[in-house]
Amino acid sequence: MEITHKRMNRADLLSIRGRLDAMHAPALKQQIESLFAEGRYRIVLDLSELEYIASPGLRVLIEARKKARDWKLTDLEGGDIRLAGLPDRIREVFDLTGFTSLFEIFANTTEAVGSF
Amino acid sequence: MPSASLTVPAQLDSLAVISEFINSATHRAQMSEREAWQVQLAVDEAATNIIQHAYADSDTGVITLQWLIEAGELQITLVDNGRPFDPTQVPAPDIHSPFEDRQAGGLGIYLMHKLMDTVAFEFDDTGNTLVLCKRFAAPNVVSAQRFTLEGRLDARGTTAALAPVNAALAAGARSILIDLQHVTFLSSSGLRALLLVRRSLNERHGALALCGLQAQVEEVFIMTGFAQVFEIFRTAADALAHIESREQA
Repeated sequence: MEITHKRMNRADLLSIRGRLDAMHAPALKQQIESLFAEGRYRIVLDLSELEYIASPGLRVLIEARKKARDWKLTDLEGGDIRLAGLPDRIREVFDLTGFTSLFEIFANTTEAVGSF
Repeated sequence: MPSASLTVPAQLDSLAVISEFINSATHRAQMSEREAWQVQLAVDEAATNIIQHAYADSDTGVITLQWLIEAGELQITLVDNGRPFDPTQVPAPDIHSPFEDRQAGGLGIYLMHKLMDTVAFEFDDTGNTLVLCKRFAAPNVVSAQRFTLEGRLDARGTTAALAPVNAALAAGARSILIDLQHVTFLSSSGLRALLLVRRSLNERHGALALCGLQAQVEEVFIMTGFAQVFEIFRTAADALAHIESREQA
């Protein structure tokens, strides 16, 4: 797995390539938590190059979103983890596990970053 | 009944090796790409559970995996000696609960059940055994393609004579019968070309059979030792029967 990070005004963009399984999930968790530690709670995960996801990866996503949403600017605005560019196989796992309705999912990173 | 087994350390960096091992099983079963991915994910979840739960307190454990293909079903068994952990007893997460109430755990086992047809667990004093089964759509049984070659299989004639065979290989043929009854001469070029056909078919677990060798051609096979490398039959019927038995194995 490979993660690249791009900082923008509205949000931080993490692009994840390869396999997000039990072996690699801790690295993503660490990367997201280091953004939280800098006070960056608006994160877009670009999953368009993600080849594989297993439950440890899903777990990182849900736990990270819970923490991000705990940070609130106002009642209406705050932190979030939003997703962009789900490949078919990843979407299938999301559908099987009910994750499709748990996240805001965008077609591409432009829309996802723009949503903040 | 094709089968294989693998023993790896119960550590997360074994997941890649396990994935390769399962890949060989789904490939052998000629599963569709989607079925293969479902099996991959289910076994990955099962192995992750063993590593993180059954061996939670140990760094020295091993997992033994076995796959077996029988009657349109791929069966995968995972055995470990960790503490008893029955994934079939873990309650399924409520996948319809709203985000705020959604639990992060239990998804791996839920996925295993969703992706496989059956999931069974048992344990005794020697350890835990988890058996995952997946039925798969029977691959299109393409009966053997038969080619009757003619003339001289030498440096000059081989390429043209074998062109239809190579076209069938490129199109994904798995079982090929080459009838040599009209071939009057075979040189090393011809032998080499036949060896390449054999190698391509072996790589895809297919079968090659030869039949109808004229005496002078058969002698070349015997002299070069290739008579023991190729499956050679007197008649096309014998050769087809052999290919059929291979396909059912």
